[in-house]
Amino acid sequence: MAAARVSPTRMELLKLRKRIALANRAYRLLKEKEEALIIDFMNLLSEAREKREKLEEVIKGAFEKLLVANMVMGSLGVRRASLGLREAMEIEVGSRNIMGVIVPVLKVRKAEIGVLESGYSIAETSTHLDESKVAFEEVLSYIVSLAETERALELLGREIRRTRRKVNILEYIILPRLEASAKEIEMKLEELAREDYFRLKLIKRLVLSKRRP
Amino acid sequence: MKIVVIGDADTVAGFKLAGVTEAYEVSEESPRESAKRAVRMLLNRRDIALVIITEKAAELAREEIEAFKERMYPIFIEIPDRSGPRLPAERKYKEMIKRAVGIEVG
Repeated sequence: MAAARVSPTRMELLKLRKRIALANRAYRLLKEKEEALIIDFMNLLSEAREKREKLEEVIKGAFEKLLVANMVMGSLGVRRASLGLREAMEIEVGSRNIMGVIVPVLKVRKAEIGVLESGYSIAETSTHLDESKVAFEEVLSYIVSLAETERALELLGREIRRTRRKVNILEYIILPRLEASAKEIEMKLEELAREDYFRLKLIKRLVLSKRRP
Repeated sequence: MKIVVIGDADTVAGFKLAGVTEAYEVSEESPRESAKRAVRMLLNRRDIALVIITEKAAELAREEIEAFKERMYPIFIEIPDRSGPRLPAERKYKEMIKRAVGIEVG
């Protein structure tokens, strides 16, 4: 690892050591963050898995009910019935913070719409259709909840990769580089000290030999 | 914000019944083109929070969906159609796990 050129002084060495200590601390904090993120990620993952399995189950049931309604009323009749709906499903969005990652929070809300005077009426439609409607409403609530969890997983995964990249840069590039610079300065300082030592010895010998008669 | 559904006729009918007002049906004659077109049409919209799309339609419009990747909304969620899920739930998250916590040689 090539060390950056710095002047070999004690001052520089001190500065370097401070930077190494700082980089070490950042490394430890980021490593801890990464580990905490992974724990949250794994928890969300098992949540998502459960929700998805549940969704697959309820959607299967909903399609079976719709099939029956289709057979009884004809698919056109089903479509016509949904045209007359008086309410629309909307999403209210919010957000929450997981370890500094902003993830969405979704809530289903029924909004009244009054476009058609003849709304969906229980009298005109078969019970099969009503059952399908209820089933798909349930499916929708599972979907919204799963969408929230899957999106959080994705965002957390991104943050984990980002954090790991920083950890790696510190561990494999910045820290080795700083340490190499510090080592180089230390060696130069030692060399200077040795030179000084020999110079002093030499002077001492010269002085002593001159003093001798 | 709104919910949009993209999928086959049955999926669309079911969610319309549940109160989703905006739905795009993937035609049986040209499924790829209609799926792509439906997703592309949402690009300039800012009022959609959630796009419910069948796994089959999502497969056909993969590139178009990728274009939304950096946006907070809409969130795309892939669901099975009446023929059931294409992959078990376990497998769906495999790639995600590998990228997030997999072995990273660094």
